[in-house]
Amino acid sequence: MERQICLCIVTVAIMMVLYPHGCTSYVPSPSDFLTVRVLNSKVLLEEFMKDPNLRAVYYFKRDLPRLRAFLKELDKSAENLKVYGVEVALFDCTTSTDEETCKKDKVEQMIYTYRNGQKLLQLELETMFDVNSIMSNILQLVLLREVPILQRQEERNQYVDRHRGKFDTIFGYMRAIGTYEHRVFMEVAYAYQDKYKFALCTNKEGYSGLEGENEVAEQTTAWVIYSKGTTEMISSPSLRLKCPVNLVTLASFVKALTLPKTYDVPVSGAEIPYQSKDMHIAYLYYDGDTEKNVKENADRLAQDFHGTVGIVTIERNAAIQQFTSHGYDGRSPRISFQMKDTTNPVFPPPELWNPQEINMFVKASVAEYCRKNPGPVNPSGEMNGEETAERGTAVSPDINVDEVETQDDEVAGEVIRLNKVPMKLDLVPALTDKTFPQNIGSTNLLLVLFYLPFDARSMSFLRRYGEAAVMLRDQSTKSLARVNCYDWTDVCGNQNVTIYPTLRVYQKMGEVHEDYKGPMDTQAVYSTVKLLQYSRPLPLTIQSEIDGFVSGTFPPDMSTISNTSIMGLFGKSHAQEQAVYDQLAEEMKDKFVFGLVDSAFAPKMANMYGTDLPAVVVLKRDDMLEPHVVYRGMYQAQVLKDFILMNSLPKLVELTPQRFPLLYGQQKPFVILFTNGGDKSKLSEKAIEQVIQTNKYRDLMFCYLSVPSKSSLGHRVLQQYNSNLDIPTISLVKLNTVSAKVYNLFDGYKYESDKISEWIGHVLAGQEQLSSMLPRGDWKPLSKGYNFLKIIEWEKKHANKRETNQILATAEEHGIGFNADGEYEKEEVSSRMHKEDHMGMMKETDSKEDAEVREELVQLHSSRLYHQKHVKEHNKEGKMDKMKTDRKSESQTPKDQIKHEEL
Amino acid sequence: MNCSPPCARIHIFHVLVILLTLTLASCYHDYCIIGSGPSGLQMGYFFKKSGRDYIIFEKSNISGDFFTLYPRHKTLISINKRNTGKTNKEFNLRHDWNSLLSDDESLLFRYYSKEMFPSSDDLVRYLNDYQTKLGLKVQFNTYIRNIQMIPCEAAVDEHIFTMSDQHGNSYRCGKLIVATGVSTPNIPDIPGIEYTEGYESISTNRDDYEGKTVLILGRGNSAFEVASSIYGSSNLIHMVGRSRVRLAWETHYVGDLRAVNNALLDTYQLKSLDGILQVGLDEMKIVKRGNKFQLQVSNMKGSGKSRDQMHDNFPMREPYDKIIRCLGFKFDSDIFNLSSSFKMDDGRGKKYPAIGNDYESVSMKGVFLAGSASHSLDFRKSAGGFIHGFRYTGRVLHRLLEWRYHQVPWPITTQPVTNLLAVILKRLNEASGIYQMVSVLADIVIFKKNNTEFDYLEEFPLNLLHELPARTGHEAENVLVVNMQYGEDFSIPGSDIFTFYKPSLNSSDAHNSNFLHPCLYYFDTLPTEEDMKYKEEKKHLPTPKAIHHIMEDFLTTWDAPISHVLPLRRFLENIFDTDMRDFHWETCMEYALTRTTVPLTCQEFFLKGQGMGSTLG
Repeated sequence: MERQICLCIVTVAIMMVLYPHGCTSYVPSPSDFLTVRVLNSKVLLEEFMKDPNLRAVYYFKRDLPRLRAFLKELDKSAENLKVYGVEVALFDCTTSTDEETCKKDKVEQMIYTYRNGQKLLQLELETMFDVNSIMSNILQLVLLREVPILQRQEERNQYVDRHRGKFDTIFGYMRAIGTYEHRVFMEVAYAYQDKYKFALCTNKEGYSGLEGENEVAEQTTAWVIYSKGTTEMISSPSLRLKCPVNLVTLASFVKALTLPKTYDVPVSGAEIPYQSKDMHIAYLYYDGDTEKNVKENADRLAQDFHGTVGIVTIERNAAIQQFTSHGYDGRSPRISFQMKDTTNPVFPPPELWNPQEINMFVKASVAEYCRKNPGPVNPSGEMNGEETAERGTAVSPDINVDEVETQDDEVAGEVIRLNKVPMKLDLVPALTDKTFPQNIGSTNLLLVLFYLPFDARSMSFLRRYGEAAVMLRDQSTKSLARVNCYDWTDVCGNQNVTIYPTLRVYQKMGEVHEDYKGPMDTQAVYSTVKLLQYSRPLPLTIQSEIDGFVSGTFPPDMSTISNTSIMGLFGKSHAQEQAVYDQLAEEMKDKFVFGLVDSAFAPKMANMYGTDLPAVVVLKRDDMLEPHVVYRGMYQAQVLKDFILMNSLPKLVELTPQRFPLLYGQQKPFVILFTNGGDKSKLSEKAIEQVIQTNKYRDLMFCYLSVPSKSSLGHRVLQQYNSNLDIPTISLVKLNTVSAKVYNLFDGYKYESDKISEWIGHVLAGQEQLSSMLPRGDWKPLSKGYNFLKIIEWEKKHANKRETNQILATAEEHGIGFNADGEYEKEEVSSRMHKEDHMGMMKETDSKEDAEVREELVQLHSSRLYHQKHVKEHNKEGKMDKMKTDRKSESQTPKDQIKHEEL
Repeated sequence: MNCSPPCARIHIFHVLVILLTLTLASCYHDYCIIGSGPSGLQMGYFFKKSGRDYIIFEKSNISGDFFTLYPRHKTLISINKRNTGKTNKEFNLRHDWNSLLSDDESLLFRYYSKEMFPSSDDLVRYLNDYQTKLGLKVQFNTYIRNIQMIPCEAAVDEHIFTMSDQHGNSYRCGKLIVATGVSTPNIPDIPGIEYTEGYESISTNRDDYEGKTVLILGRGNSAFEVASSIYGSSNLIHMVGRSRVRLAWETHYVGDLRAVNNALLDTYQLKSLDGILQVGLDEMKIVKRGNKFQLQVSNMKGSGKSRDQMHDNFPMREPYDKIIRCLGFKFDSDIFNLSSSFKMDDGRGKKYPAIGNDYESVSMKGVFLAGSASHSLDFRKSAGGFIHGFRYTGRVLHRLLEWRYHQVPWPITTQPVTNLLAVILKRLNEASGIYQMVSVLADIVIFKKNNTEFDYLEEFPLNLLHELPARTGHEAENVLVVNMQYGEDFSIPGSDIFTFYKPSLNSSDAHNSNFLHPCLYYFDTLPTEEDMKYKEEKKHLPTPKAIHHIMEDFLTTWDAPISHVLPLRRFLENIFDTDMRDFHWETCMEYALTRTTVPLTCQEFFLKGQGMGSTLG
């Protein structure tokens, strides 16, 4: 929708280049604008820029039809921006040619901003397509310092800490800058900037660790982070706005945060502070016996619903007397919920009281309200009722451009974000139809990455592949190359490459090749290349080589490749067994280095490992529990191969994404130690190691997962396991089954191997209580996309294409928004175009509700400004010192605060 | 060459016939191609490549003989765009209208001429190189006539064909590929037509038109070609035609009047004596007045008067020195023994044989049309009448024949569904067949194994979709059709393409794209014959289960991550009802540890050890 105008602008620009005809000359005049000032001289311009408030200037160089739509939006924005002290002007470069800025390249594609005569940022027109985007961008600039964009948790924490003890922080998340939600957030921030600190983020990382982060589901939302009340450097509690963000919900949320968290109604009766504030109210009734319990519950509720629901406690008799219409049955403890805009509360069943239940009750009531009153989430988009009625009863199909066209694919998103960071591909030659055969035919080892530039997975891998080449740069022969399958579709076609990306390993002058099946990862590619360069198997002929092989110093790069090596020990009579070993060395060449000792050293080594020849030893340099494992089975390739794979990892293995697939594939239950690396964690680790060493549970995978912070993967997993135990903690989880079960170890047992072992036994015997069942992944599409069948059907019924064409034809001749006489058409054409484009252009018809709230916000801010100015003047006169003001504001009762707000 | 008779059981009558033919030293071929023009050679290439027994009969002593005479002024109007800024050979064929398909890269027309509109001599040289370099079997100087169907129970079609040449040699063929083009001048039967000269024989020396007043009958490319050549020497040129001038830039049909030929439109509209009129020739007659000729309206029925007697301002009241016929060509059906039994198309395409969507003659089983003569299927719609179109429809015909007669299924690639988005994007951005044969050929994705895999078929005839399994040898239930199309009301003669036109740049408005853009149709079951027959007017296919338009693109490159790729991914996700996003391995591991199932891509890559970490940390 907003994009469309922008795109339209681009389009028209293209059209102008291609078909430069039919444009009447257009010189802006003051009468064209309602709010934007038109400056015709340098003097006026300089004066304008000197203002201490933000000033925005558009330098008009030449008339383009696309500009007219933009200027119209700019004018509307200017009107709205005025209340924020921002003024907008258009400088006419056609008359004042001496102004330097006019001569700058691309000046017509920018809005320049100034304050105190200083140039601030330039905003690109491309990002300013409608009132929302213009306003949010300019407000962001006005509040550049006041509302930082903090994309990382640490940044956010630092920001909160900086204001600790002084301010609470309102933290917003929105999917993009320049949207309606962004504008709303900035408007509220402007109004409340001296009451709260504001910040926002546009990615998941930014809000991680905040309350209810898992419920965000990419919807715009806001939190209050409480840090005003304490100076202690602890992680601050946060609370999320429970309704979708729009101007009404956000403004009332922030406003309500200034109210007391709970309110106890005096027996004598008094006005409840929440009543006038347009809030939901939860009443909690008590008597002499239940007062303590009820007030505790009230506090608990307040923690979750502050800002959304007013929590009122009231003595039962007082309630009966004061609220005769409520229908209260006189029981206590009891709860009721009064939805905002209603006069009487709703009572749940009388027995509903435990903390969890009442929390659920309030939550459900709020959710119901939000559902019934979605509010003007984004006043763009679908037509309002009036217009729909005009056109018939059918509802336009759901076209949510933001939802469809916001990248939610991690890999594709990363590709876009890293777009401007050049890949390191200097060491990875791009092969062509001519050089491809030459290259593969002239070397013993060449890895070729076949990729497709439109494919995000390809491009992501290519970046990592380039980095692997850098790691391998010291090698004398280059072994990494690439083919762009869009440039050389014939090369890829001839190689039967149909899957992108494909990393193909060419060996022996291109005579043999096979596809790489490992991770699309820098280290993995590096290791693969290194491993492929070794002989298979690698003969270990002298003692120092054997020793080095065991310790991981031979071959020389071994430490950078893998912690696991395989050593085969064979005598002269073991040709058959050795053949199996050789076969595996070839089959698993890209996974491990296979050493071969077939000299006189062999029996000696076998002896060292307590076995006879032939022997295969898996050497695990990172396994303290089991540094080596000796194969004692039959020499059958598959059996030996499985053995090597199963035993290649440490007995107590860290769960990393690199290792996980191998562990998961073994289909065994996991015993997971959640650890933070601290001393206590080490104790638990010891205990687990002892359990492992008993060899009692060979069919379990023992592993550990680190939980360094609350934003870590480990923490999220723990939460899902329903474990609120302190780290370290141990869970046994049966993955890979239809009903995945989680058992959490009793906290008191975690340092004792006997207890752990016993507990495991009980779990496996089905004697332990289940801690949680893992949910089925619901991997449905996140968005319905564009349902073109419905859209076309709807348009067929409702749209008058021909009319659109006529409007467009006029627009072509005279510019968008201008009639056949070249006059600016205030209503008809433009509004008709809006209607035509039912999913198109942003409609600047904010709801009445929005308008009211906005007015209120602006009034609030102006009153505060006035108040501050007033104080300053007093200060000047020495009649009131700052301390006094501060003390006064601190001693304000909540009620005073409310009055202060309403000034 | 297989010269043994293919029939095992033969009726007595046929024995006689065959004996007779054998005595005439006739030889048998599985496939006989008549005509060694571009389409005949193209078919020959495919048959040779698949190792079939084929022969090409050519009446002259050279391949592409038509082009030794035509176009008369030697300039082809097919684009020879040698540079595109891209190295992609498939993509480059989108802008190369003269090359035939082959494996030999030296056989690209870019190496034969540097002209954007090359000389026909270069095309003849190219075609003969194509034939010799690829070693295609052409029997020259063989003018095929007298084609007959002879019953033969052992043959798949239960008959074979016999024919003879101008020397009396006879030939027998299993299947016949008629690639003779559309090369017989169209001479209407109107009074006085004998006073006209034909495009096929007029002088191309402009001095012969010095100071002459010329009337040209016809208003197609050949008419304008003649006009452009002589308007500098003639007094004036008038042109008449039945219908309005159809400008190719309006209709997007390359056979309509091309800008390269339309100079006369300028001199007409800039009042320089030349003029264009709209008259149906069947109402006219040509009369001789001394040395000059006049075009008159035939006698009006019943009145006994001719119309010019009624209107003294008749535009062509002044006589002409020369009247030139440029009325196009028609298919020569006289090659058939009983030419009347060979059915021609009706209506607009009446100059072409009537054929089915599989290019088989509707009246003669086993006779297939290739090249220009097969253009009835997409006349005025697509490029099937031109080299850059029929090189692909020829390939289609060959693939259909391979399955029908040799049980060789249509070539496919089978891939995991996680690769679908990339494959579609690749095709959209390079495929030449579906780009040239717009909305005639389309790519088909056949889903299988519970939507985990798909077969990708390239360039299948859209109109045969309901017969997909029977035509290709691939079972199909739910399919995705990848088509290229213009906006519905975009290709209309007389439409002003330069009017204010808002190319759709917003993905949600992609269905309103006017210019060529991809459109994907998803059918959960194959449409039936009935569905195909009664599809909505102007629609390429019956209403599918879901449809996705990808907005037109100024660069015709559909690779924008957000505007093109993302909505397409969402469309595919909704077809499969599955989240198809890619995840970094940290996320996949989290899902694997906390859910009983993981997203598709985690399953396909991460859990198979082919995951990818995040570089952003």
